[in-house]
Amino acid sequence: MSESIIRIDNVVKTFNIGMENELEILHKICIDIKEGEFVAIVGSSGAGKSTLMNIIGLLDKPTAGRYTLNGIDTSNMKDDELSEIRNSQIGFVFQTFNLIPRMTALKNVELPMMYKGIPQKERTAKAKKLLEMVGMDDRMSHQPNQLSGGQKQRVSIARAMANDPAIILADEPTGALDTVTGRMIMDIFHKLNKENGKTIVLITHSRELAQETDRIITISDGKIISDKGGYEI
Amino acid sequence: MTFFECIKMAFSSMRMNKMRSFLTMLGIIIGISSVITISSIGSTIKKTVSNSMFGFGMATIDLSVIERDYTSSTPVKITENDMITYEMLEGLLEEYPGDYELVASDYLDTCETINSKNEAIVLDVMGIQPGYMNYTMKKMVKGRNITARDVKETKHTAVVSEVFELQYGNDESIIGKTISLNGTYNFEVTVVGVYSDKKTLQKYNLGEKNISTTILTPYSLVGKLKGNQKTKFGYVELQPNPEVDPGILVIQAQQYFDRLYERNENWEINVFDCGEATKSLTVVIDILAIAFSLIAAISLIVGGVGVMNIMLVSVVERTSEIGIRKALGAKTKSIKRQFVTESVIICLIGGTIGIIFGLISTYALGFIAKYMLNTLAADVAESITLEPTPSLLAIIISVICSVLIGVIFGSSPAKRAAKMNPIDALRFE
Ligand SMILES: Nc1ncnc2c1ncn2[C@@H]1O[C@H](COP(=O)(O)OP(=O)(O)O)[C@@H](O)[C@H]1O
Ligand SMILES: [Mg+2]
Repeated sequence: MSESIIRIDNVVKTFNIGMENELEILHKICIDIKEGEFVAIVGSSGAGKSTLMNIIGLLDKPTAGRYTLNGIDTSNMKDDELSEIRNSQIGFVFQTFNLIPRMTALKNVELPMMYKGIPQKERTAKAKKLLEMVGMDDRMSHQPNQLSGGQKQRVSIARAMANDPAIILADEPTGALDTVTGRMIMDIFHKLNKENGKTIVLITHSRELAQETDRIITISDGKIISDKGGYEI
Repeated sequence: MTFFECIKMAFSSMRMNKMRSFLTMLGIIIGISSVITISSIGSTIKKTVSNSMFGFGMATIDLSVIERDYTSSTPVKITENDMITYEMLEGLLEEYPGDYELVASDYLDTCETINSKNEAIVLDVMGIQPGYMNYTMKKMVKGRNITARDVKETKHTAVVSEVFELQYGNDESIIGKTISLNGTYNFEVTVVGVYSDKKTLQKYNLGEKNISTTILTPYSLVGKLKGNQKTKFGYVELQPNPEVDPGILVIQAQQYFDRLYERNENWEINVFDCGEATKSLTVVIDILAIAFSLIAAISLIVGGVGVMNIMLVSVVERTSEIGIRKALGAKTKSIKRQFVTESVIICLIGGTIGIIFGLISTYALGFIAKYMLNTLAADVAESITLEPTPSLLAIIISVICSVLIGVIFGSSPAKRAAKMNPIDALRFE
């Protein structure tokens, strides 16, 4: 059994604290994800999947509880430290792609490397290689608005891989795509998991796609109602 | 993220919204160009005024006989012996050769002469000291001026006008020609030089062939002819050598006359530098130019506020971009730097365009002013040198100002962008 890379310990998330519309979205969630796992998180809309994912991705902080990443407690980290960890250890793939408009695919992929301080030449070479890997080498100088949904998502996977992070977080990556292109994206994820050993956390609506993974965590109303497959089996 | 990357990023985001970037710059362009124009108008006026003041003989050094104790209740009567003599002046000129010139002039009379075609030409005869030419801004076009030696030796030399040269109508040069002048006084002079006289030349060329001009002869010659050679003065103007510090010239002259008047109990000589008065006028012009430039600088602040406004809008508009950048690992510093760089570059480009417009309008105004001077005041135009003088200092200050405005008005929106929570920025719609 390998090391635990993501450890969520009694995490609570409450929005609008102290206000009239204060609302607890996540209730004492506990998850332990090992290195190299491919985990699917499923649940109905509004269940709190994205909220959980944002906490895992260090984009948001839990209201209570502890989140340990790679054995390091993240509770007291400063914003710039969190930026650094996101930059080097986590790759994001969003449902809405979140590519920067009017910036070429190549430049978009280079971005995380630029913030890491990698020299221009080196990062261009790496970005080209990554785009090649996702089959986008013929559209490197296209801007996002000149790409189809599937193409945009492939660019954003290449971007997520830029600094060779251990973890890929994908929030409904196929949600805006048709089944065929969705399939293609899923294949890339499988490849990244199998060949590159990436830990992947995938949020999806589709039971079918979830079945392909090692482990399925089902969330309902901010609680984990089932967690099966993977190492438990 | 390197500095160069910041600049590249700023340019690409400016390109994204060209029209808006330009409109943002417009405030800076207007501000900087008006500061440049106004300060340049100031320095041009200053230069023009000081040029013409010196030229018009305003920069003379004046000698006057004054009472030592001017508070005494019993006024002392001035005698011939207390006055400045011609010998004293000659002594000063000999002691400091080239430092001073006398400017005195003495009108003799109207005379008539006959030209080569036997026609009568009327001339006004004026006796002058060498400094008279500079004092009245007359320029020599040919030959030489009346010299101190001409005056000292009472030579029969003369400087005539361009018009007279035409009226005289000789194919050869008029210099060296001896002409006889007749009237109340009858005498002969040899022409040694010709001075320019555009105004009468214009009239002459328009058909006024009988116009009379002035013939200049040594001061002493006129005195001798009149028989009352003036040798005692209560007040004398001197033309200083413009190459020498006027302060020194004043002290020299003061010391010279203090020595001569050492034993005079009641009277002394006061030496006064009129150029000093001119200088204080240019200081006033300076102050006015600075004051007006500051007023123009208010528009720079307005421009700066415009930059801030646009940067704030841009931060809001690019909220999700900021969110993406932060999610991908951008630190507070990088985001801040990105937006400050952008606003500095907008201001610098605006400032540069403003400087160019300012210079263009400075030269355009100079051109218009010259044209108006020549058409509306042709008689003095010749003696005024109007040269557009852009103020280098104002240009340097403008560049610094542009950068400062960019930093000052860009940093608050940049800080706002940098402080954004990544998830809030990503969720923003
Ligand atoms: N920043 C926020 N402020 C207030 N409510 C929020 C915020 N983010 C999410 N929520 C609420 O939390 C609940 C769960 O949202 P989310 O995690 O996005 O669900 P999903 O499982 O569909 O991804 C929703 O009811 C949503 O309205
Ligand atoms: Mg969601």
